[in-house]
This record gives sequence, structure tokens and C-alpha cells, in this order.
Amino acid sequence: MCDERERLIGYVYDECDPDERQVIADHVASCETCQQEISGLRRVREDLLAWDVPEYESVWRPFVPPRAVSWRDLPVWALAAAAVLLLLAGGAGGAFTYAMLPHRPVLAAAAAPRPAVIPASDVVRAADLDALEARLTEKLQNEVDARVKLVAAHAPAPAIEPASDVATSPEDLRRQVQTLRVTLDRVSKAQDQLSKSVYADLMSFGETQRRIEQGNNYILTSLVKHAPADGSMGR
Amino acid sequence: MTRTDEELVARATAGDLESFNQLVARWERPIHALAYRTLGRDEDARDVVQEAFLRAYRGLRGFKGEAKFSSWLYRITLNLCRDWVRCERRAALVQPPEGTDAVDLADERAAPTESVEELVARREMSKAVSRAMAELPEEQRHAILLKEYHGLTFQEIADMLGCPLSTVKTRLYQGLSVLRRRLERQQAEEASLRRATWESSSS
Repeated sequence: MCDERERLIGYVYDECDPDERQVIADHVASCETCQQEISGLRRVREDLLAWDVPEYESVWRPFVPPRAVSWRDLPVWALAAAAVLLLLAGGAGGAFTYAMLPHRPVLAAAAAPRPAVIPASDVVRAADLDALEARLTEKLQNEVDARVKLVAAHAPAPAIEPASDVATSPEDLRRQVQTLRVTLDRVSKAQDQLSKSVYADLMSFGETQRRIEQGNNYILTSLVKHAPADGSMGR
Repeated sequence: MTRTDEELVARATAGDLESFNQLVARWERPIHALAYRTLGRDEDARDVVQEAFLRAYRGLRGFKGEAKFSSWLYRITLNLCRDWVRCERRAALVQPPEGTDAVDLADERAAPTESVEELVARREMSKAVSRAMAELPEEQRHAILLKEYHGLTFQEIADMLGCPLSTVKTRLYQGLSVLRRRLERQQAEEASLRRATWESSSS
């Protein structure tokens, strides 16, 4: 047995450095056993080439990069759910904004719109707002009248005789006129302040309602526009 | 522009799925061949191909590039084949079906110049090699498969199989020696059988 046989593997596969290759080549030239080994190894390598494999067709399904999802691809039920959520969010936002408005003066707070006056219908319309304004104006007028009486009751009336409202002298008449002017001036200022406050409240409330209505209209328009022709709710 | 495996791996790791598809297209045939020669069943080999690439994709971030991408894939494939044989309790290297129509054989000639007789001889040799390989110990079979059919260097095989370089050479030498003896014996038996058949038919 020749001890060089396992070194022949590097020689047969031509995977040894040149010096080693030369050493092996010199040895093989003079060793009949190694010559037979090399011959046998080369023959079996040729036989191995006969081992073929079946035709191969790819079984790999290529990865597809994820496509950005458009809202157009969403099923109708998802759009409807989104619309409801948007509606609720809009309503909650409006209510929150309204609740967070700065406090009005006493007169304005007394006349501020209450939830009870909001129409029960789903959509607030101009006619509803007009009716609301009329009711508030009437309430305001009543409040003003009450305030006028209150102011008049506390107004300084040094020369006015409680028992008589008839001037007894030109001097008394001038004092009464002066007192009335002061009273009317105060009432006028209070009325202006109250009007401004109510107007601000109405504008804020109207703006909130208008935005909610716009959002609802947009959502409903989208739903109608992209609803499937067959009326199905899913894809 | 053709990108190298390393470039494609870097891009795939960064999330470029198309680069990974290119790696699959480049390596699925060699992986199938390795799986088929290890398991012996085309159906199983195809399943292993798919699983090997899925595992490779999942493990891309763990591939640090110390070895070639192909070597890494071969190792995944051999591990899968080993698990396959164990879990499925199947005998590796099931023999291909016997008996083939000569007309079918004529359609499978490797080249127009190959005669049907040559094709029959090649297929007989293919079966003989398959049977002889099936009887080898796993480590010798893996060394021969990786060297003969996939062209890995001794060092790459050693790195992949986790053994010294000298061990790879020893396994190769011993495996080839056993194969040589078995194939020579089979060829002698077949020649003897043909001779007996010819003598009985001529008498």
C-alpha cells in the first residue's frame, strides 16, 4: 500500500500548490499503485457525471413588493365605518370646542344657547338657525327688559319722590331727566354687551355645525361615488 | 447590469424583494439538484427548494458574509434534507421508477448525436451511481456531492461541514474509492447478465 494515496485527491482535483503537485507528479511517475489509483479516481468521476437530475421548473413564487393601499381599494363597509367614525369625531370635536369657549359675562351666559334648542334633525339648516336666533333674540329682549327694570330700581333717584312721578318744579324735572339719561345710557351699554356676546356664541356654534355638515356631505358624496354598481358591501 | 450575489444579498437585506427574487432565480437549479441527489425524489426536492429559500430569506440578516452566499444556501439545503429524511421517516435516495419506453428515451437524448443505446447506457449508469451513492455514509456523500456537482473547494466544504481540510480529503478519497469498487462490481454483474441473456437467446 502506498501512503501517498490520500494526497492524490488534491492532485486529481488540481487543488494543491505547485510545489506539492510537482512532488506528487514525481512520485506517481515511479509508483504503479498510485498510477492505478489516479486512473480509477478519474474513471469514477466520469461515471458520476452520468447522474442527472429531472427537468426543473421553478417552484418559487416571486416576492411581490407590497402595493400602497389606496382608499379606493377599500371595501364599502370599511368606508362606511370610517365615515361613521369621522362623524363621531367631528361631533365630539365640535362639542369639545364649544365647551372650551371662554365664559361669557353673566348676561351672555344667561342667554347662551342650550342644547335643548338644537334641532333634533341630523342636519342643521339655515332655517333652524334663524329660528334659534329668533328665540334667542326674544329671550334676550326679555332679559334686557328685566335688567332695565333692575337698573332702574337701583338707579340713584335723589330728587324723585317715590310717591309721585310728577315734577313739582323745573329743578325736579331737570334732575329726573338727568337720572333717566344715566339709566338709559347704562341700559344701552348692557344691551350692546349682551348683543355682542350672543352674536359671538351664535357664530361659533354656527361655524362648528357648518364644518360637521361639510364633513358629512363629503363622506356621503364619496360613498355614493365609489359604491359598487351591484350594490354589494364587500369586494 | 449583473449584480454579484453579495450585492443582491445587501439589497435584499435592506428590503429589496426583487433582489432576493434574482438570487432565487440564480440558485434554485443548483439547490434543486443538490436536494434531488440527496433525497432521490423530485417532489421532495422541490419542496426543499422552496423551504430552503424561505429559510434563507428569514435568515438574511444573520448572514454575515463570512462564506459565499451559495455555500450558505448549500448548508441550509443539506440541513433541510437531513431533517426531511428524519421527520418524514423516508428512505433517502429512493430509486427512480423502473422501465422506460424507448420512444420516451429517444426524446430525452442529451444531444442529437447521442444514440438510443448510448442514452440507455447513460441512464443505467445514472441509476447505478444513484444506488451506489445511497449506500455511502452521509458525510462522504455530502463531500462528493459538493465537490463533484457544485464545484466547491476543499476549504469551502470544510467550512460548510465544520471539519478540518484533511478530513474533507479523506472523506472524498474514501467515498470515491467505495463508489469505484461498487460501480465496477455492478458493471461486471450487468455485463455478466447481458452475456448470459445473449447466450440463452442464441442457443
